[in-house]
Amino acid sequence: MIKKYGLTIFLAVILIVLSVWSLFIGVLDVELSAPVGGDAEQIEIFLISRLPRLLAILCTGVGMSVAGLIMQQLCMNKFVSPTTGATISSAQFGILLALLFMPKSTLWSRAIFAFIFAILGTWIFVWFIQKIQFKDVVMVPLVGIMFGNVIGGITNYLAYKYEMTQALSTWLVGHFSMVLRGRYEIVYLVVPLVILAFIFANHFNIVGMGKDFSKNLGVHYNFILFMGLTIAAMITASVVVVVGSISYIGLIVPNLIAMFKGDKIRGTLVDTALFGAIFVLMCDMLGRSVIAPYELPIELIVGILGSIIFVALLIYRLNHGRKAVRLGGAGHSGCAAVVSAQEGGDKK
Amino acid sequence: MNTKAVRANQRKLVIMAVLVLLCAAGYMLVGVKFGNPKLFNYAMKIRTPKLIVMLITAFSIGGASIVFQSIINNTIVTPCLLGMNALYTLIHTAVVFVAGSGSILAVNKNMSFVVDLALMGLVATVVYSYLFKKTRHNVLYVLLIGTVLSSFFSSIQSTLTRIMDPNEYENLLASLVASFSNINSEIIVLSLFVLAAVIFFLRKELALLDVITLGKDQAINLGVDYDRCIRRLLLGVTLCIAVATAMVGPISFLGLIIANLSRQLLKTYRHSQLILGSALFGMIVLIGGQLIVERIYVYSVPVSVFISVGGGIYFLYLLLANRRV
Repeated sequence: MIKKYGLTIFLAVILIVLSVWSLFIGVLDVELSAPVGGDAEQIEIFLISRLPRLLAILCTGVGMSVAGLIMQQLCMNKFVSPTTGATISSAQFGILLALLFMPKSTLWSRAIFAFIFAILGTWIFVWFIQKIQFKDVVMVPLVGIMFGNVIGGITNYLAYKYEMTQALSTWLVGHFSMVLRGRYEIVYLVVPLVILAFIFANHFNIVGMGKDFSKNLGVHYNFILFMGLTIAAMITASVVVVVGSISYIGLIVPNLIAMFKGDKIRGTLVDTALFGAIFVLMCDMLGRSVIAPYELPIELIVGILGSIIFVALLIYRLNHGRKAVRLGGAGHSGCAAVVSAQEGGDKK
Repeated sequence: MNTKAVRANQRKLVIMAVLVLLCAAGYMLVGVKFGNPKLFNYAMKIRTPKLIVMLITAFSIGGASIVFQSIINNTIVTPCLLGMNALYTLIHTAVVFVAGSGSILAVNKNMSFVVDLALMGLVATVVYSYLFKKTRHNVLYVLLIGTVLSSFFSSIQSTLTRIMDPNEYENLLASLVASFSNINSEIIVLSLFVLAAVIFFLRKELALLDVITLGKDQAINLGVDYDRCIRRLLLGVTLCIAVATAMVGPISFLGLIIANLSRQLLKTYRHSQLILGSALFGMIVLIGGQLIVERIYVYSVPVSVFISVGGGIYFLYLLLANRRV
C-alpha cells in the first residue's frame, strides 16, 4: 500500500508545503497570522491576488501536464505535447483572430476562438502524422515544432499587418502577473476536463495500443482518439487564454513520471498532475524571487529549465534505446503490456 | 562531371548574377526623385548601407549553410536551425549585460563585435562539436536538440534583458538586437574584413570540401586530416553566422531555402559553384523581398516574417520528401 502510493503522498505533501509558502512571496509583506485574524487589507491582498495566482498556477501545472500525458498516449509517441503538437500556436492564432474580428471581445469570446482553433490545429496535426507513418520517433516532434512555427509565422504576419503585435505579446510569453480576481476564472475549466480524462483513462490506454487492438477490445478508436485530443486541446487553450503560452511542461513532466511509474494512465495521472503543479509552482516562485520586487515571466524560467531537461531526456533515450523510458519501479504486468505494445507502435 | 554541365551551370550563375544586379538596381532606384540632387543624395545615403548589408548577409549565410550541410552530410540541416544565431544574440546580450550599458563595449559597436566574435567562435565550436559527438551525427536528433537549444538560448537572452535595469531596458532593446528595419551598418568594414580573413585562412579546407562530402572514411583514405579540417570549417561557419546575425538579426530559414534551391538548380557537387549559387540566391531573396516589402507592403511587414513562413513550409516539404533520413 505504502509502496504503491508512496510517490503520490510524497508529491502531495511537497505541493501543500510549497503552496502555503508561495502565498507569502510577493512585493507586499504579509504576516503569517494575517489570514487567521489579521487586518482587512492583508486579507484583501490574499483574496484578490495571492490566492487566485496560486489557484491559476495549480490549474496550469495540472492541466498542461495532463494534456501532454493524453497526447503522448494517444499518438503513441513520447515526444508529443501541446508545444510540439501545434496546439499552443493554434490557440494563439485563434486569440489573434478574435482580437481582429471582434475588437470588443470579452475574455470568454476569445476563449471560444482559442478552443476552436486549438482543437482544429491538434486534429489536423494528428491526422497528418497518422497519414504519414514515420520511421523515427523524433520525426514527429520535429514536424510538430515546424508546423507550430508556420502557424506562428502566419500569426505574426497578421499581427504586423494590423498592428496588433503589442496586444498579442501578452499571449506569446506566459506569465502569472496579470492573474487577479475576476479575470482568470476560465482556467477552472481545467478541473472538469482533467476529471473527464481520468474517467476515460483506460480507454486512452487502449487507443494507445493501436487501431486494430482497440477495435478488437470493442473501443471506438476514432471517437476516443478525437475526444482525447479535444480534451487535451481545450485544457491547453484555457490555460493559454489566461496565462499565455507555457512550453515544455506537457512534454517533460509525463516523461519524468513515466520513468518511475510506467505508462498506465490511471496509475500515473494523479502523480503527473501533482508533479506538474509542483514544477510550475517552483518555476513561478523562482521567477518571483530572482529580481524581486520585479518578476520574470514563467515562460522564460520554464524555457530554460525545460529545454535542459528535454535535451537530457533525448540524449538519454539515444544512448539507452527504447527500453530506457522506464527505469523500473513499475512492476505491474499491465504496464509492461502497454509499454511493449507502444514500442511495437513506435517501430511501425 | 563533364565540361558541358559545368558550362551550363556557369550560364545559370551568370543569369542569377544579372538578376541580382536587376534587384539591386531596382532597390536603389525605385521611387527616387532624379530631378532633385539633394533628395537623390539623401536616398542614396540611406539605401547604400542597407544594400551592402544585405549583400554581405546573403553571402555569409549562403556560404555558411552550404559548408555546414556538407560537414554534417545532410541537406536539411543549417546552422541557423540549430540555434547558432540565437546563440550569437545571447552572447551579445550577455557581453553588454556583464559590461554594463554605459561601458565602451555597449557604446562602441566595433569593439563589442570583436569580443562577440571571439566568444562565439569558442562557445559555438565547443557546443556543436559536443552535440555532434554526443548524438553520433544522428541527423534527426541533432535537429531536434538544435531546435530546443535555440529556444533555450533565446529564453536566457530575454531573461537577461529583463533582469537589466528596467529604465535602461527600453533604450537598449532597440539597439541590442538588429533587425531588417533596424540594421546595424556601423560594422560593415569590420565584417568585410572578417569574411575575407575567414576565406583566406580556410582556402585549403574549402578546396577540400568536395572530398569531405565523400564521407569520413573516404576522405581520410584520400589523405585529408579530417577532424582538424572539420573543426576549422565549423569555426568559419560560426563566424559567418555571427557576422550575419550582428547586422540583420536572426533569420532562421534563409540559409535552408537558399542552400537547397542552389543544390536543386545546379545539381552539382562542386562547392565553388554551390556556394556562389547559394549566395546569389540569398541576394535575390533578400533584396527582392525587401523591395517588395518596402514598395508593396509599405514597410508594414518585415521581410523576416515572409522568410520564416515560407521557410517553415519548405522545411516541412523537404523533411517529408526525403523521409528516408
